[in-house]
Amino acid sequence: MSEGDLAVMKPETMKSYIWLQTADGSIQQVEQEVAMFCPMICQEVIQKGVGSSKNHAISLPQRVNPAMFSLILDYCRFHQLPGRSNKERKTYDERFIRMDTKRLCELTSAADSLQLKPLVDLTSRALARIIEGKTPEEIREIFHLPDDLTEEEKLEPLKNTMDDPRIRLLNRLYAKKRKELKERERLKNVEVEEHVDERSVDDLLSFINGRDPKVVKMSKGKKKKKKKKDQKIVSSNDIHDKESHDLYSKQQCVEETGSSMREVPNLPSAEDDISTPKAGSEDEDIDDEIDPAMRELLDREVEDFAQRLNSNWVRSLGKERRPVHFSINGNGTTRRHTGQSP
Amino acid sequence: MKRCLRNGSGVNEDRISDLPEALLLQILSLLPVKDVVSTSVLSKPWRSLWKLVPKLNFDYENFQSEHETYSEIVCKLLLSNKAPVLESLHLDFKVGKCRAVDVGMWIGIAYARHVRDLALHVISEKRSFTFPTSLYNCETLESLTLTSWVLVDVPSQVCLKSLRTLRLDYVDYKDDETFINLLSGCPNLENLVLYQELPDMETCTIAVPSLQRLTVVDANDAQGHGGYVINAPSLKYLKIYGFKALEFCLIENAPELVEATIMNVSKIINEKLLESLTSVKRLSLALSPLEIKFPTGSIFYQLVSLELYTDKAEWWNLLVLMLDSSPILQVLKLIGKWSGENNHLAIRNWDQPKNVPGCLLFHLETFMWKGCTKLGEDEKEVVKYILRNSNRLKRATFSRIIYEENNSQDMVENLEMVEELESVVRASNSCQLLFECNLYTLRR
Repeated sequence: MSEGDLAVMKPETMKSYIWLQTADGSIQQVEQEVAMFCPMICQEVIQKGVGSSKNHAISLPQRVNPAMFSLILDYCRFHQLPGRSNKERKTYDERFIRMDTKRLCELTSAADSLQLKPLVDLTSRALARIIEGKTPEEIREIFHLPDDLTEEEKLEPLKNTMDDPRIRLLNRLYAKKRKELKERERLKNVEVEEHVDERSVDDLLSFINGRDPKVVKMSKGKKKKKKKKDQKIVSSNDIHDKESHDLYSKQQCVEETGSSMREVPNLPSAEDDISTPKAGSEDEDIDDEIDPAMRELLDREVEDFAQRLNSNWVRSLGKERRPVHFSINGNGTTRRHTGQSP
Repeated sequence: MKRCLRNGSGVNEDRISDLPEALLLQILSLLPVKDVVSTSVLSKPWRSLWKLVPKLNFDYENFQSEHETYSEIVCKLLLSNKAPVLESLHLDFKVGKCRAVDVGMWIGIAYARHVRDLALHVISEKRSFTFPTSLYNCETLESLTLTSWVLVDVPSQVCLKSLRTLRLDYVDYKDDETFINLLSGCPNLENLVLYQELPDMETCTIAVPSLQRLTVVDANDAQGHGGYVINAPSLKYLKIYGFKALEFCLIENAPELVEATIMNVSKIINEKLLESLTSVKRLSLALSPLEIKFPTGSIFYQLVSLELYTDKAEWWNLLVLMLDSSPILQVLKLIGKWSGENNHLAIRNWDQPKNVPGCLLFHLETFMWKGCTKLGEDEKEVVKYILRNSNRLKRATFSRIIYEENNSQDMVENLEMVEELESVVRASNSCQLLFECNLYTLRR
């Protein structure tokens, strides 16, 4: 070979390139190892054998415009090198991701269509960080979203929850529980000794969890320093709801007691025994479309709760007290909480 | 086929709603639930998206409402969720604001939705909240994390058939049986992470045939009582941090072990740690040979990579012992702690080994000393010894920390060290020396 020939055959021409065509029609060639970093391109090359020449350039998806593609190539070029440390990669990513929101969205879209998962994850996290903690107005402004929902529609998510039969059932359960608690409180107020009452609450809770309360072993031995979180002590100003363990500080569901005021504060009929919930009760709100498994699950929970509530109550209160029976099928004591959502 | 929220080209400026639904759900999965729900009011395409988010992250602090209790909110949102698969549910709640029954209900709903990953973080002052037993029975749960000061009480028959990952952060156990019952109810457990303080005189027995990864962090001073027994024949990755003054620590047969990290273990009366690790390929040790029994005669016959932390007493003797027992070692890293002035203990009385360890002669290719401020005379002796005897050494890297940039004294010392080490006659012709300086910055 002549020297001239050898000069032409430089090592660079030996390097492989992949031919790619972006959505606007322009064609470019990219070093193979860089382009193959994108799974979509990799797939096209291997499965369809395209990309090896200008005539057979791989058509990139619509969402990949030239500007975004150039960015993505930069990303691939950096990351495809195996020798980089994790720290280097992280620093690069942090700098790479700094761009205006519009471009960030475009980049996310482009990376997604090329199936470049690491970049998709990176951009998704960046977008999530932008959205987090902002008000809807702020988000609309950042992303130029039209404020095209009516006020009525905006309340829909909360209203819709009322239509869900399971949620209605749940509301009923909560109403019942609140009523029961209120009832207990009412009776407790009649009592002389407050301590006895608290004890029964203890029994109640631990009984729910399936153990005899006397045997509960608290963490033994030396008091260990709390290493982790700070415990915020919420000052309690409402001692109505005493259901929690007496070892806890008396922070209670203030809100719960508040809303229980809206309930019909009838005494559940004493004659009703604990019974397995019937499918059709007098409450017209119950409908049969509730998923039976869900209903069964919830019913079982409430039934257990009610049973234990009852038996414990009887036990700990003593002979003089007339046992109060709590029924699951209330007598029209529950109602829809249309006014409850903020 | 990827569904988009909205059809139409990007003539207007709203780019984000054009993203495929799956991608938007991925973004929403990174947000706390509160933010997710508020996207429902953004604009038309976003109205129902929030219900499809497969990962729910409830953080208690941000969920205060006057009208509803936290429990109600959680239940309602859980029930509103229409994602085809509920991939993960992270809930934190404050004991005293939520009752046991509520928690039972959340768990019931989550399990009915076949959640895969459940994490419950309990905020409680007293360590006496107990989960209902229903928590420990689920066919589909794959990952469970329980955090903080709950009392775990597991009766004999529980079943978490699909559970692969279990993480217990500072939980208390009602009794010894609880822990054993829990583990036996997880026949497919592969990954166990324990952050705990072993209660007095207790034995923690970790016997899991399927276990592949184990991490135990227990920095409590046990004052000579209690200990760990680890029996995991399929174990591949082991990390132990902080065992102090235990009565015993026994690791039974682990022939599949690939990688082990043992840090800050001291004063164990009866231990069989290093002895059990002889089949590892990669080892990371922050130990002093004074505190741990070196199994003389044991050979780390598969050890390829060794990391040794230099802030432990007489670490250099451990280095020699390890070099002698690791015939095929290829990578050696010495690591100083990156905090404080005395980030490694200066060597005293370094004695060269009588016979050059085989690994230096035949296998060592990479040597790294990271995080040292300054190499003293003895340290340099060690380095020179390695350089002089490692026939296959390709690269030796010295990575110093400096506390101020352009400190002239630093730079002078650095230069002197570089010169001194460069002038050593190296056994390997292709050996490169690399000197790096890292500025130590305080992170907030």
